[in-house]
Amino acid sequence: MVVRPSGPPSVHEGRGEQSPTLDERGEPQRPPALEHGVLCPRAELAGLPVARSAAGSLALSRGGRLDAAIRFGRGMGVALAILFFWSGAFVLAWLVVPYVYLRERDRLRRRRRMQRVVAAAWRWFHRQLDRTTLYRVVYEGLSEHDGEAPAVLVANHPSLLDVTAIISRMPSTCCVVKSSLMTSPLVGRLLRSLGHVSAGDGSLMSGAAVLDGVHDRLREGFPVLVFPEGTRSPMGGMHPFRRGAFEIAQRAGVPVVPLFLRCEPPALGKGTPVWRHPRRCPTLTVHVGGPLDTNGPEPRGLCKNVERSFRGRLGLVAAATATSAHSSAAERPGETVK
Amino acid sequence: MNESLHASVKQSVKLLIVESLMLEDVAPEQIVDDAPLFGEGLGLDSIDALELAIAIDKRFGVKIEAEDERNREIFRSVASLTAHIAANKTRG
Repeated sequence: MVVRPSGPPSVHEGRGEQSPTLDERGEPQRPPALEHGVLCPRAELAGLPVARSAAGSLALSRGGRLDAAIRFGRGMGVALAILFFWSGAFVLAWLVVPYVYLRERDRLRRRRRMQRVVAAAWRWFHRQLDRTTLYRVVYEGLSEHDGEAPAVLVANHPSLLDVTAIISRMPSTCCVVKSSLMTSPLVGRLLRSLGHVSAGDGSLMSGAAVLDGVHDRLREGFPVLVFPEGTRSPMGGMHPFRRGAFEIAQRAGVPVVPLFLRCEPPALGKGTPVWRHPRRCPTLTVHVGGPLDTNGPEPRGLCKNVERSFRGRLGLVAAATATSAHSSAAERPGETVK
Repeated sequence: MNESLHASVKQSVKLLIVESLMLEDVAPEQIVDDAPLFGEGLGLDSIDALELAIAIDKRFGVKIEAEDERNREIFRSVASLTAHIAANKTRG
């Protein structure tokens, strides 16, 4: 078994050209050397179960027990990471937020300070996930000053860690967040201190408050991240976009910046149990598109066009499970607006 | 309820929907009284609802509160919207 030497992130370049074939579980099949050598280069260093996954493919002849053990180990790893994530959020919410509130009087400076702390925390968290080959993020087209000027960032939402991945690199980003999280006793105060906007309770007129909230953030100079699908994307596809994000961008006179997200192999998606974490290291590619002028086009048309460009760019993945996208559209919760 | 008042409100509601929401491919007389406004039927969304609420306030002086739990019922169709406006209108 050839295991390529571990390398810096440059090994990730050009992966976009590969078009994996899908097996019946919907997981792409690749040559083992590529799987474990290129995508999880640091597995052996980390000394984690996955480090033996190259041997694991040999063990298939022995009934796949090693394989099952590796999968179990990775599932446990993710469960631990999630536990750690929430504990960290809890500490931030109940120790760091009060501390910063005492130290800093000005509301906006307080928010900026919280944002820096939290972005550093998520960066650290993602570094650990990267080290343990549980989850990896690659950024494309991200320049130094992205995420500083007010803009509406729109993204598809393939996995649970999209937001932390984006905020790691664009710390001042405010998001439209599910209302149940915003009012949660555990992390609600953290999210509110960061300037996130509640998505409302889904009642017919609750959209007005969301529009106002996002408009305030933009006027204060923060970029705002919106998932126009309103929830996480269905496996391999996308819900239709709602036009609220584009409407606000136009009203506030700021550009729309598309963030094309792609998680390969799919992980931490909607309705996927945590213990089914893929054996190969999931890599989230965040591609920052060029800003779109919102001055001219009518928001409804702009929304349609942007949705089309998302479907086009993510086409490889979308085509594979187009049917599941349809079937799960009906299950979409009504808790978010637009 | 006065029949002719009802009919005239219904006409203006349909006109309002088409005009304030700038629906290009729908004529006022094409809107069916009982067809749902949101989702299926006309396919309006939550931002349309906001704009429609503002337009209704301007035209008829009927305020529609954000927290009102009856909103979904009121905005179900042209017929339900007409009934609500006819019962509460202060002008138009």
